[in-house]
Amino acid sequence: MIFGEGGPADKASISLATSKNRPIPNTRLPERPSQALFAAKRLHAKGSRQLRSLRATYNCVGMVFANRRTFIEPEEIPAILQDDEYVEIIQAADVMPGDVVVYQNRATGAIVHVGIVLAAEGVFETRRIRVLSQFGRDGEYIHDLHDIPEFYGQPVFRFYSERRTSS
Amino acid sequence: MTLPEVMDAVEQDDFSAEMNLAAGTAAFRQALATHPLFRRLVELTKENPGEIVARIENISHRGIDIRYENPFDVALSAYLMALSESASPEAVSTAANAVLGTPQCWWASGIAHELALQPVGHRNSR
Repeated sequence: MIFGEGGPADKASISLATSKNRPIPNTRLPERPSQALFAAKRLHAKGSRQLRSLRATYNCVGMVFANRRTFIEPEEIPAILQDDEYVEIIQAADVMPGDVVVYQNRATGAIVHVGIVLAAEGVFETRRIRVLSQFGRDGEYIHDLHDIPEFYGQPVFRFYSERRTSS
Repeated sequence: MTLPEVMDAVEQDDFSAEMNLAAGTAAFRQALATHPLFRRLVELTKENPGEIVARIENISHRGIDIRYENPFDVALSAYLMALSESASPEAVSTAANAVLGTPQCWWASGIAHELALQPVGHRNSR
């Protein structure tokens, strides 16, 4: 039995905290066999999706908030956004590369996925947002905002930014 | 689908890849619990839980490359969850302990920990 799994006493986790020093529980996961990752690539590399990396030691939250070092449960995201003083971007036109996009279940509000905006170009109907995200533990993809696996359902998405344009 | 066919399907890399899209533990378990293959597995497990326990024990004794996650991690998770819905507490306990002794499991070991800790009267109540 592992007491304090994901916490500071767990050797499988790394020391990680928000800007307000709130510990972020996490777990470093084993890599998956290459044939499993190639199966994932075969399933997911389609449409607008461009494979960037095939690793399974972190998830989407770990990619965005822990530099790909570990797995973090999505339930930790609200505390991270709050402590790190992210601000929600209400107007899609204001989204910029580097901002964070959070995908949420339409009915429950549960966070199902998170990524980083790589490009936001065009206006109105021609607006195209490209996102970099790790699909679960199935690899990192660059993809259109809406082009995520059916597994995630048809989520709503919210944008957040830590940008400051004045002191 | 017959039990051997369902077991073969849940042990495939494609099924593992689909379930590993989950961003976290809750999403993984929800996706597994609602997947048609898993619902069929639950039906078949009710008829023959011993075969599922035997399969778990067989997998738990297999040698794996310990540099990597156990390739049966998702399948073991499915077997454990199916047993927890329909099998006797003794069968669930045997299966959970076998998974706890299986190297390099992630999703399955989390489920096994919870099942091993759960009071017997609380099982089969989901």
